[in-house]
Amino acid sequence: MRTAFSDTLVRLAKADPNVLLLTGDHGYALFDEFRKECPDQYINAGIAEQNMVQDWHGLDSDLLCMA
Amino acid sequence: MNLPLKAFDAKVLRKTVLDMAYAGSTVHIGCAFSIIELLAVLYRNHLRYPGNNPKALARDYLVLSKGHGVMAQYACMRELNWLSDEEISHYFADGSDLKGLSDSRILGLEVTSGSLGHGFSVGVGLAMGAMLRHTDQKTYALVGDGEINEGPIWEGALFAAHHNLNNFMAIVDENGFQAMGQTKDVLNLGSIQAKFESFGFEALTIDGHDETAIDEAIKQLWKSKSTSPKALIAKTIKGKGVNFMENNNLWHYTRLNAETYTQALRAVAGE
Repeated sequence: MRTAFSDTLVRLAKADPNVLLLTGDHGYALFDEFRKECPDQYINAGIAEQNMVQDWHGLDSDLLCMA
Repeated sequence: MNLPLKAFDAKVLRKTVLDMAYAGSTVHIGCAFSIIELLAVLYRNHLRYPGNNPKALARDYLVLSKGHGVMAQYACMRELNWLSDEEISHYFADGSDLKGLSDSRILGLEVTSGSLGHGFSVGVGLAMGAMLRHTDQKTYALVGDGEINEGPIWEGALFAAHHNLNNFMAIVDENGFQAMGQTKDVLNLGSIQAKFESFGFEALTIDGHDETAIDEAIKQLWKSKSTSPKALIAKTIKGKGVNFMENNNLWHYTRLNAETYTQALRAVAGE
């Protein structure tokens, strides 16, 4: 399931440059492929989820996924 | 559009706030009065709204993170003709959209706030979005000094500095008070400028009621070639403009009656 999740994220992000992935420093190994394939669409916000959630609110429209 | 000759006159803005607070029998006058000059300078000299459109895609963003001061922003929005005198006079009335905290459903207000500490990070996200889109939009997040007790402020500060968001400016209304007392007695902040600098911000401290100083500091911060986000620390007076409200935390909560309303109007008119 983790592989399917990762593969799907990579596929969606490659198809649409507006897709961003924000993570609160989660996803060890899970997002390696995403980071490699779409480095400009990957933001590790650090272990700071309260800020990350509000960043998403500001970034808003085109965000796909927080992890 | 044709603005009045001297738009965003601080005396007019304070009168509008008093009119609203009296009409709606509401609180939070003190924390609106401390940010009058800051908002006047931002709206008059810095915020860009193409076509005077509060939803223009290329606009700058002003996030009132300290949503309790929203009457001051409404007063500015009246100057821009975004709010009518009728809407102002029905502030807080049954059926009015204008409530006592910032609400993003009102055109011209970017966020719903009042739950403190979150607007700052929304502003960081807006700035990040502008940077990713390679626009020249600026984002200002106006926070209270009491508000920066909140942890997410400092998470957001780390994030803004890490991502070199030099299109983001935090403005701290350092009026020295929060709901229950003086900030130094509740949770001592020490030097706010030093804190932001240590988080990687370029920061200046000014008199938050001196419009020339505010304007010059904002210009100076934006002029910098540094990739650091910016912080403007504004030393202000809670309740500024009305002698019996200044530095009197009662006016965080007290409602106006006919007598105090008249006295306050005289005070802001300089009589």
